[in-house]
Amino acid sequence: MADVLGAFEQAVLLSLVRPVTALGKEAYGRGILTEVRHRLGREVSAGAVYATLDRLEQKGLISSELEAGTAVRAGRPRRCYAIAAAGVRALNDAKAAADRLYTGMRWPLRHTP
Amino acid sequence: MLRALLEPRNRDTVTGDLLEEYREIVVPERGRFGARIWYIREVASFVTTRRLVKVSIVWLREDAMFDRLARTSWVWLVAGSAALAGLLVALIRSNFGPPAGLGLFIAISMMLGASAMIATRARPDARSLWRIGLVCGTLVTLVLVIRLLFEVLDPVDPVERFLAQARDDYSEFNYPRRWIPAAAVALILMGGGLHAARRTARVGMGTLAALTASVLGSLVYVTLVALGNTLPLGPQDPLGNSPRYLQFFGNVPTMLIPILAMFSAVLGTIGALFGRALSCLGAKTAHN
Repeated sequence: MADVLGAFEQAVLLSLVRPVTALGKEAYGRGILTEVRHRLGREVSAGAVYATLDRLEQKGLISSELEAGTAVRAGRPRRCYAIAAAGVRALNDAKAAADRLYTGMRWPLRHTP
Repeated sequence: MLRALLEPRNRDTVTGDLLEEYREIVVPERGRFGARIWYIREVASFVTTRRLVKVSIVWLREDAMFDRLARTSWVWLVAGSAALAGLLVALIRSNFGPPAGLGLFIAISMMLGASAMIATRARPDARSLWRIGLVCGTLVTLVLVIRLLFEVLDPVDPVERFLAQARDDYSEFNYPRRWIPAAAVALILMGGGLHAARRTARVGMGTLAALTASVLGSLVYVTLVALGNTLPLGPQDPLGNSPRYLQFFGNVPTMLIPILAMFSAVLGTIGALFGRALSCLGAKTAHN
């Protein structure tokens, strides 16, 4: 297992797993941001999501391609993201690591003084 | 600002995403005012210390527009700081006591440098600002020096002046050596603002040009007075501290710098408004 993914990175990667999420072809910055907010159940800054997308792409866990811009975007292109095979493996590893971590624990955890 | 904070590959895509959401979702939901607030918040979310440091380094290292602009402004700031350091040394050497308003005008000089970096958009802007500031600043210094020479060569008794000012029929216009230099400085600053705004079609540039001229002009003048005071040019006072003519001027007139800067902002803006109007008029005539 390479780098262990953080919770935020996992949320961003999970938003790109198709067809589980509804994003589909809408897997661009703003759509992903909405999905991540929904998954984490809290307000997330756009800057953090774009920075994470860049980092994941540098790690080779996702790929992106440019699509032509529309009039509403003043002709500016749209960058669409897709999860790579390495990204799926990283998510599986993260899930397996978390499962291992909780193996043998009785759920939910209780505090015993 | 947002474009400066983003990596070049993301500039168009991220601003496009924001624009799309702004137009299609946020404006219909929150109205134009609410959407603007939303937009500012979104842009603010990209501001992190790491990004700001990165942007600063890129500006200083890349051979780009901002890089050249930053270098030009830094030269300006270094020159201003050197002048201030010289002034400080002269003040200490001449034993003038606490330098009134020194901190204030240091702050103004720094603010001016920072404003120039923000208000100017390209290297030619900084260059023309510097040129106009230098010419008008030199003229301001000249006027102030001429006024000083008048006071040195033909001093007026301060008690006599005080009594004259207390009379009901007192008018500044009866003392041309007081109002003519003031009017000349005002005209120079307005002219600088007018010229800069006419060239660039931007009022802000006019204000900035007048501010530059006033700070440069008064800084040079104050430095000259401080340096002149260290020389045995005039009769010494009983304590042997400084020549009398400079005492008459309230020692080194450091407060002149912030006061003139404040006036120059107003006068420069007035001149700049005329300059902008002339620029529009010129463009309209050329169009017809």
